[in-house]
This record gives sequence, structure tokens and C-alpha cells, in this order.
Amino acid sequence: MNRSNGGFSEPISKEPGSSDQALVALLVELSEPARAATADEREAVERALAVLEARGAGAQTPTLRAPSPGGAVSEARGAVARTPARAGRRAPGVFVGLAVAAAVALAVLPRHQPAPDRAVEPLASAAHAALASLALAPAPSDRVREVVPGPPRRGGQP
Amino acid sequence: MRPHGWRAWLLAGALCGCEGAMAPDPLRLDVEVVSLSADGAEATAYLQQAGRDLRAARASDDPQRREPLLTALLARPVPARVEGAALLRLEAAALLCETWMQDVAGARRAVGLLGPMLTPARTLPLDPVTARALVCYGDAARRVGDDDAAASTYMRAIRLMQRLQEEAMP
Repeated sequence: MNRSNGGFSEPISKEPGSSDQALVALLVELSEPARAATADEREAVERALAVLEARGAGAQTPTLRAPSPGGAVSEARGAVARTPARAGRRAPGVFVGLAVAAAVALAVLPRHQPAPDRAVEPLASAAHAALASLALAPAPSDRVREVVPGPPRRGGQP
Repeated sequence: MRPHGWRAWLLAGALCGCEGAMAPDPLRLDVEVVSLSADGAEATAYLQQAGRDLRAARASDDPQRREPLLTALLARPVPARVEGAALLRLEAAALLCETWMQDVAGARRAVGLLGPMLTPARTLPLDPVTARALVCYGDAARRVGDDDAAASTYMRAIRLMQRLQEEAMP
């Protein structure tokens, strides 16, 4: 393979959008473990991914495939080169997926980490403290013993 | 239909107004002094039986023994000429609430029991047992996640206890 042009055996097209295709192809090729073994190549992958992210919706995500012996790289590169729109369609999917995951995380996290009920806590403490001071008051069931049969007294006044 | 349009609007407005008027203020606290008294053998027997059941339930640590005593008291119809039965029923409900507060399902049952008894629309007995029931209801509401109900109930309990203090020390 010709390493001087990033491993491409064919010339890179100068047509509009072709640089993205080349970038995608480069990423596909460099993502192979055998090719991306060196630190320089890993750095190149990271740089290329950063460029893709910076391009936003117009970015083209590389088709990462499991390494397979015998022409897997050229097969992947060819697939991307023949249908560049295919890779472009996947980029929004990635962003949508991330957005969905973030939304799910936001929805789920508060349930696992409930916020302290700051408004209720002081009221509960105050109510319990006040109730403790009434603990010595006789319960109605104890007062029943004192009830003398007679006509009901409205308003509780003797 | 068009000539009746204004009637529909009037009816809708009236319904909205009624709904607003019927929804009580969650912080409303209307209390009255209630004492225990009975007139007649049946009324006296009711009070005596309720007192015995409540004391037995209070003395027992076993929920299996407390629960049937208290639920039977609450299910028992109040005979005529009994004054202050609400106090005994509130004591039973508060004891049941405290018994059920072991888990969320029990707290939910406690909310279902005490909610109607302590609704702001009712006039409650000015008594420590009402405060006890309100606090337990607040705990149960909090346990099931209804923080709004819990907060308003705790506030009502605190206000009721303030009233009790004012009554005791004018």
C-alpha cells in the first residue's frame, strides 16, 4: 500500500465532498487494528474524528468493521466510496442516539438519586418535635374511663 | 345550537366556579373542642368497648394483634347519643397508621385511611390525638412520595398543636 497518501492506492478526488469521502476512507483504514497500531496513526484517527465532529450534520462517519483477513479494508473503502451518502446518513443517527441516551439518563438518574425533600424535612422535624411534647397528654381511650353516662354535652363544655 | 351558546358558557363558568369553591384549601384547619360522653346503655357500651380495644391495641407490640382490634373498632357503627366518637376513631386510625408504616404498601393504606378522616373540608377535634393522626398521615404521605400532601399536613398539625398550647395556656 502507498503510505504516502494515507494508504490509498488510487488518487484522491478533488471534487466537492470528496475530501469527506477520503477522510472516511482513511478512518476506515486506520481503524483496523493492524494499521492503527502506532501512536501516530491513533492520533490521526482522533484528529480525523475531531474534524468529523466539528463538521456536525455534514460529517461522514466511517464504517468501522471488524478486521477480516484479505481485502477487508479495500472492501470497506469501496463501499464507502461508492455510496458516500450512506455514511452521511448515519451521522444524524449517531447524534439522535446520543440525544436519546442523554434524555434517558436525565430521566433515570433523578430516580436513582432522589433529591432531598428540603421543603418537607424541616416541617416533619418540627411536627415530630411538637408532638413529642404532647406525649404526656392522656389518650382518648384513657379518658373513656372517666366518662359518666349522661346526656351529650355539646361543644365539650361541662 | 347557536342561541344556546351563552348558556353553555354560563354552565361551564358555573362548573368551574363550583369546582374552585369545592376544592378546600389544603392548609385549612377547622377545629372544635370535643369531649367524650354517652347517653344510654348502648352509647356507654360503645365507648367502654372502644376504650378497652384501644388500650389492648396500645399495650400490644404485635401488629397481628393490634390490627384486628383497631379495624374492628373503625368498622363498628357509632350508636346515637355518643359524643366524641371521632376522638376514639382518630386514635384507632393513628395507631393503625403507626402499625402500617413499616413499608410503602402500608403507608399507602394509611394514606387511604387517614386522608378522608383528616381532609381539610372536615372540622377536626381539637385534641392531641388529632395532631398525632395528622403527623402520622404526613409521614405516610411522605413515604409514598406525596410531598405536597405531607408538607400541608405537617403544617396543619403544627397549627393544631399551637392551638392546643393556646388553649392550655391562654
